[in-house]
Amino acid sequence: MTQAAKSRARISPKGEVSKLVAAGSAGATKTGKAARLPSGSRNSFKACRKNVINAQGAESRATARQVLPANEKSLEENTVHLTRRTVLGGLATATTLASPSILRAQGRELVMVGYGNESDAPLIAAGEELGRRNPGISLRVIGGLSAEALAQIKAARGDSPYDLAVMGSPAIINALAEDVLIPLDFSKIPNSGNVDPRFMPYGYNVGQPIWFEGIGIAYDTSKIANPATTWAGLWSGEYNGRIGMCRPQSNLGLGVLAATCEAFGMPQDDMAFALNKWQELDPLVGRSPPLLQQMIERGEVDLAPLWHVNTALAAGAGLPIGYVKVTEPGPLMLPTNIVHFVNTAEGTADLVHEFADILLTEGIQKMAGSAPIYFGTVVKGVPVAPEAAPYVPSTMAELDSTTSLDWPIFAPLRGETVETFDRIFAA
Amino acid sequence: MAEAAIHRRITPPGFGEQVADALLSGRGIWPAVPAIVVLTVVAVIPFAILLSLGFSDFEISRGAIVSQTFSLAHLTNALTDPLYWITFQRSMNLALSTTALCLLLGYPVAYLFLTGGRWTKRLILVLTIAPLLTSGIVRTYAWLVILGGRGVLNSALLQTGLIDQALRIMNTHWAVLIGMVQIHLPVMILPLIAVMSRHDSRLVEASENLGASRIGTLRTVILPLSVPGIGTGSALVFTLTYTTFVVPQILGGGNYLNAATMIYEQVVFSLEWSKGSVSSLILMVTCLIVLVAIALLTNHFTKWTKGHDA
Repeated sequence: MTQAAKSRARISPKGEVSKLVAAGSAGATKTGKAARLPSGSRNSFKACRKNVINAQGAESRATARQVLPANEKSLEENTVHLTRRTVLGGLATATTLASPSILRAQGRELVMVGYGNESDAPLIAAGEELGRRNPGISLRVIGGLSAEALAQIKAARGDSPYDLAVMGSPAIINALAEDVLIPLDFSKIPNSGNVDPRFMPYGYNVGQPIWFEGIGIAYDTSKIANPATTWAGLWSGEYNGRIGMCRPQSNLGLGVLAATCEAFGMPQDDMAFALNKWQELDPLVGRSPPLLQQMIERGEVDLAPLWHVNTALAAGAGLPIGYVKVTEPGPLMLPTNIVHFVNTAEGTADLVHEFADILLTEGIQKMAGSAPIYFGTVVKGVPVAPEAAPYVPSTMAELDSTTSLDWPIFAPLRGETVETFDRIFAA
Repeated sequence: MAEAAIHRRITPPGFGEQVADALLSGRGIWPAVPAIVVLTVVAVIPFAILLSLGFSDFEISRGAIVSQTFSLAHLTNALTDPLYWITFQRSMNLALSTTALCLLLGYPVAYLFLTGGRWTKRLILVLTIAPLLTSGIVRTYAWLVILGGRGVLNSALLQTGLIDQALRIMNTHWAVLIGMVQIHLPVMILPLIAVMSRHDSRLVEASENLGASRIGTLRTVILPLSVPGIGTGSALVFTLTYTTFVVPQILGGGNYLNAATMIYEQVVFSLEWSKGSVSSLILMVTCLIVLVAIALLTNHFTKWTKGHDA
């Protein structure tokens, strides 16, 4: 081995490996066999390796005599003396490094089906409050239809990808038919006692009503001066060919059909009667409430039954759209509820109850009832925001006459009604 | 080189090399095995489960199916229901007319690509591919802006005095057809360009040198040679159009029902999965029938072309 190779071996921090390489290089260079062997040959590699080992064997002992004293000195200098301080310091460092993992392990994320628009704001605010009360807990709100959530749970054979949802009363009836809800324990929701008693039945003993949406008539103020104020008034002949309606797959469409039955003295589940009555109006049909709202905005229809929230949002954007709180029956409302899905993680139930309780606090209710959300409050004593007054029952007379529909008798007919609708309107 | 080749012959390849050789040789189905496994897991098995629901009555407990019995009632009900016939007939008409319109509009573009200069070709490629870079939903919504009651088209017609009342185009079959053609046109043009630009341009020159007119060359040389492109483009456009959901949903309005929207509503809103399953089966079978017809016609005309070549 050359002096330079020995020197490299001594100062190399890689120790034995470096020495082997250094010795191998020297040996191979000395014999010169590696360069003459065919490249790519396995035999040539074996021969090369043998040369390296032989070269190391011949000279390594002599090199070791010079290396060892230096290594011993180095070992002495680098020995760590364990004291109480070093142990405590090590533990503190390890804890600091591991803390994100520990926190993640203790943290939990509730996943809920929300609205997917600005109406999610009170849900998010309540989720943040839940997180403050329960460190490590967070809420993820996923926009979507409750019907789609039910279909996903059904597809997953009951293994719900969601912990909870906001759900209208008719969807609760469908969810109960699919057996995918766990009833809430209202004794664990103290603020439930502050809810106006007329709303509680629409949770059907499984969901907690948190706010409501009204069904009325939205109209283009530039085209209609005096819109109908009762449901039967739509059949005056003035609105034929100018009116829009929503498909009965939506709660809005289904509810309007039931209201039509009620207005003409028929049972609310006589959907064939209601559909035939609507056919008389030669309506343009929106596939969903937001699409129906857009049809009014684009001037394709002059008026249509619509959720008060959709109307308020369109009017809030400066469009010439007015709203009538239609009566006989009405003003109509549909409560929205918090529901808890089956087969969610252990311990979720307490958090869902606490979340529902937070949603019923005055602060969240005021937030949900003001622009740009406009939900109707279900909690007693929470005043209606001035900007929401044209859309939700605000006077005592309106509040007293506010009613809903007998959803359990016609909500299960949704599929059948959609088919009848298609036979009449789409075929 | 020779030494290395001799060495390869002497040293037998290891198992790993043998597997890699088999995969890369292109023989048998081995190269497609990963794709087959993935498709089986994510498509075939779920679809089989879905189809099984169409042939059974089942009970649900806590979201899970607890009992299932075989039944043909859902299939027979669907096949005897006029609503299904009307809906599938409408979907078929829409898909066939979209395919025909895409071919009529796309073929001249592909021909221009074949005969045009370098910049023309680049422009056509950019214009064809650019719409594919945006979402189909966005492109469909653009038609709302154009075709709506207060849209660009109606405003222009009203301002020029050609009409005195806005036309109702939105929420009609025509709106869906217009949207379908625009959305799927690139899918027709790209296979046509791929096939037509592969052919030897000397064939066209020979045809013209032999005295054929441009129309004659198009009819007797270019058109027969582009039959595989027509077949591929038609198959793709038909499949996408027949099974599409977004365009009818947005442009057709609530009165418009095609097969895909019907299935969506049966599965999501009505939660009647047996009906949705049977509808899916009918959609798949009818789609396959048309695809087989397109394949047979393509083969027939391609053989005819080859016969002339020979």
